[in-house]
Amino acid sequence: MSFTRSANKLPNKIKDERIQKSTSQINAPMYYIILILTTISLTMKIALQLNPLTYVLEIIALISSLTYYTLSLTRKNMLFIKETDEVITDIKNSIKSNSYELCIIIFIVGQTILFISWFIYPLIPIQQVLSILSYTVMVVITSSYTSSKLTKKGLLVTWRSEKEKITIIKNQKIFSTVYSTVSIIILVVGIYLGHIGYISPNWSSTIIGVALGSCIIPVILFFNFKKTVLLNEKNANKEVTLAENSIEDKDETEIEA
Amino acid sequence: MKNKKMKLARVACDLSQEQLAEKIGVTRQTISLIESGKYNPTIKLCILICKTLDKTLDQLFWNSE
Repeated sequence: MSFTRSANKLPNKIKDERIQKSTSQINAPMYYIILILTTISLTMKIALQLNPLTYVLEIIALISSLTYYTLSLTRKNMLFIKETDEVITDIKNSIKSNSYELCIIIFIVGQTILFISWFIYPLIPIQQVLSILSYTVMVVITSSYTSSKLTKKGLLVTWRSEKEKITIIKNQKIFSTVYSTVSIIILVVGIYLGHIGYISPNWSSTIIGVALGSCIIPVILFFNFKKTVLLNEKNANKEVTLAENSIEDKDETEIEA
Repeated sequence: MKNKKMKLARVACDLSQEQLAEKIGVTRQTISLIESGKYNPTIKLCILICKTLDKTLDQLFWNSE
């Protein structure tokens, strides 16, 4: 009785399998790219004998993502499978996509933690710049490729109804406003503390750098998000119209024949 | 292959593509692509569609021709 009841109950929200499948398909090759870039970055930093703090994220990303990838394939008994079919490809793509996202999260969260750690264990400025640059390049190269591909297919920002679309845009505006406000407060506090000599000028410049960097992201998001949403919607509708038109053309040809 | 049965069942339930998508928890585009035969849904999604439109899998997704 309870089984029938639960089976008949529709879930409030499920993730769109078509979008998940297409997103995994686009993200999957990026896992190899990020693995190559991370290895190059790690090798270069070790060769240049930089402080281990500058390449700790590469080591964490490589170990955790490869462990996740191997364990996930082993759990599904797919580690040594050479044959491929649609289902195996989809599962492998999904695991690769998750591994890629894990690397990106490690780089973004890790970089933020590193910023904070530099207040306690300051590095030579050139090492700080090299560290930030390497992670930013890796994240920007791969994510700009995936986001442009996803936008082209209309899969970057998705919603089920117009109401949900408006809520997504509204939430983004709130997020950007809060983020910008916090960054500006950090900036003002950093300048003030440096000015009154409470913290050293080096720390003050780091705080200002962090706050300025944090300001740029929400400003770009704030102005670009609505545009991205509309472009995404346009491309998604274009895909559907193309599919519908091709079917109608086929039907007409069949009738004529 | 175009899924006319699903479209007819949806119209009979007086639902637009967007309303059906909202009920199932997918995007409108996915419903449109299933109806136009450009996307093959998994059995899980097929069951959800059937339950929402109050039909069986045979009635919506089996092509006897």
